[in-house]
Amino acid sequence: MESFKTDVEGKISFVYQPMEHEAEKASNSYLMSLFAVMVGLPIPIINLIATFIFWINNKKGTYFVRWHCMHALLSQFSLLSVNSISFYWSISVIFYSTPMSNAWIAWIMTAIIFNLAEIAITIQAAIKTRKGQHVYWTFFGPLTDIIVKP
Amino acid sequence: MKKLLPQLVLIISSFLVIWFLLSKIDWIRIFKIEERSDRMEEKLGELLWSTIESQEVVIEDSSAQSTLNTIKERICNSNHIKPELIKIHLVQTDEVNAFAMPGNHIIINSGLISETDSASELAGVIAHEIAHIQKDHVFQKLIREVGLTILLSAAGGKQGGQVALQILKHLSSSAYDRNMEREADELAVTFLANANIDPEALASFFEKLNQIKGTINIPYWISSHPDLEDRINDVKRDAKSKKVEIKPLLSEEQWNYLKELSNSAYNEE
Repeated sequence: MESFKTDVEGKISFVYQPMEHEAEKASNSYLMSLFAVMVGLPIPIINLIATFIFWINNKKGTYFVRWHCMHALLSQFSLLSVNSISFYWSISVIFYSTPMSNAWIAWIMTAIIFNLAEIAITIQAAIKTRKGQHVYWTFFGPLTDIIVKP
Repeated sequence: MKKLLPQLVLIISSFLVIWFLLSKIDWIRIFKIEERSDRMEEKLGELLWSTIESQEVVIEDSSAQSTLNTIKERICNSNHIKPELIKIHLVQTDEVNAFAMPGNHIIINSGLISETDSASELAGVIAHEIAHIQKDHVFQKLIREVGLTILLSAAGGKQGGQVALQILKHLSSSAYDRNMEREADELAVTFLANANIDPEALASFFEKLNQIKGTINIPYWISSHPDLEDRINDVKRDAKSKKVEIKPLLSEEQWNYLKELSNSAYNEE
């Protein structure tokens, strides 16, 4: 029996209940990114490296595990650029002659809002996948479908 | 696949829209950032000045102070700077040194005045230090070398005099980075030219110090100022590009009095 189905738009969804170990690994991929975000800030590359290593370790896992590891990994890229800009802009303001501007404060606030949103949906994803449910985020879901094949 | 690009655009544009809307709010005013920063610098400046007062011999001669203020006012008034914001202090020591501190304080050592040959050379030094203040180099240098946390706690009165001494050491004996020094030189030349003071005097003072370095105690103005010969050439080039109608700065009497006072202080040291 197929463990997944593809709808008319090409969106893949899982039709079977993953095993306990699959749900645990899929959930851990999100937890890993979440943990690394907290450890890695303000240097934004650490969370990406941690999630990448986790994905490498699970490259030969089941489709459900591989899909969610890649989903978690790709989502890290969304904030990588934002957090990198925040980091280097802040360094420039604190240590160099870049003026402290409303644009910089607004950028930091927007970055905080998006980081908090990312943390919230990552926790939600970790809980859902732990229960064996599928999560499918805007942009990163379809992108994962393209990269990870059954 | 078809939905991928619109979804990416949606995520990016939602970020940019939020950033754009938030940047329309005047956070600098709301958080009183400039006021807080000024107040902190002022407190730090007061702490450092009180440390100098307790550690060094401050020359409190009203005629000398008035002469220094005449130079300061000439530079400031010609360059849209409020002269009352800049506080110049004369300290009795043989170190050929002058440096700016937070809170717009400028310390001039009597040893430096002794080495100057004209009021224009002294004005060049003062203009250079005012340029560091105007460009906010002083605080940036301290943040890099001492760290923001230590500066905040020192300004908040939580650190003792040891920290103030450490900060003073950084200000008086280590150079700004190359870009800051060049920026200050360039601005000093503009300040001097606008004030009808010979801007080449700054270069001639550098040349003099370059010749005598190694023979006298010059902690900051020479030994740590990088690429002095390049800077001399740059200042000369900048000065030549300005059309300056040189006007007298001090009377001979005023200058001689200041020199004699500094020389006698130098000899006492």
